[in-house]
Amino acid sequence: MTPTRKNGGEEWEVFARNKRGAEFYQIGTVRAPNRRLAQAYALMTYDEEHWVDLAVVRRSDITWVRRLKPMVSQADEVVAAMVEEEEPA
Amino acid sequence: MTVQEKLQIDTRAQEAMTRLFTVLADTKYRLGQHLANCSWMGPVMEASVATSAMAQGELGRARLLYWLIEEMTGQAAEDLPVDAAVRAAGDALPEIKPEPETWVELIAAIYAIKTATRVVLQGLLDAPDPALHRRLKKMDDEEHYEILYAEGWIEDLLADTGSLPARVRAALAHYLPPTRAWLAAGETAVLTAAGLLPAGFNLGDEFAARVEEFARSVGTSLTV
Repeated sequence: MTPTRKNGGEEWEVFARNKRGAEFYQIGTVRAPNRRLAQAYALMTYDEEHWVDLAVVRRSDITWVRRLKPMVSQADEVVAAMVEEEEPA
Repeated sequence: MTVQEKLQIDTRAQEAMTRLFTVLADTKYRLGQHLANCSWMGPVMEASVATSAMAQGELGRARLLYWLIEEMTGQAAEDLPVDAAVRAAGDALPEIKPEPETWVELIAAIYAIKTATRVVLQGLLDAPDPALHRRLKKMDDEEHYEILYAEGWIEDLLADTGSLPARVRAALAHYLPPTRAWLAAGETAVLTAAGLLPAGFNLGDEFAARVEEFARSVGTSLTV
């Protein structure tokens, strides 16, 4: 889906760590049309804990090395195959 | 020891600081109330959550400023004889609508008020006298993210292909020049002489420079 204001923009992954030297965890996502809003939304939405580092990464900027197939599309493929089998040739 | 004793400022500087803080505090109090009432206006969930968070922060920062005024003067903020005409009219910054009616106007007002606040805070934080630093630093950090919020929205609205860019420009033209004028006409000279602002620092010019820098970063120019 093309990011527009109507759907809130793009997905941004939010990463944080709670103390110096701790690992970064993915703590959630925000939807925003630009970097400034992604930063502001991340801070205002995920500020319940005192994070020493908080970062946002545009989901489309992530380069996957290995990725599990999404379950929904797997299910879609199974349903599509069943429908195909049931339909007369 | 009161803030005034720590600052060791004369009466004129104290009055100037009180006027500056009172107008900012009144504006922030009104903006906080308005944000609390219209957080539902956010076009997306994150925007509404952010508006609610800002309302809470804005009311808290107004309270901190009123408390500093009280400590400086020994008088409750509502009893101060400052900017009586402005306060009686219910407006904080002159010519600025205290309760903007649309999302576009709300964003423009947030941007103008918060950028003005940050210019004042950073001027005071850059001053050689550290008496106010501890109290103002947290407020300054919080304003930074809320300015990002307003800037992000302005950037997005300006990139629209419909009527929104013209509307956001009109709203900014309504809020930015009076805010700059208020800062420029204000207390710079007295506060600089008292060592509360760095030498050569002008609140109005600094405000204009920040707006122009933001406008350049999104490839446009804005009337300030």
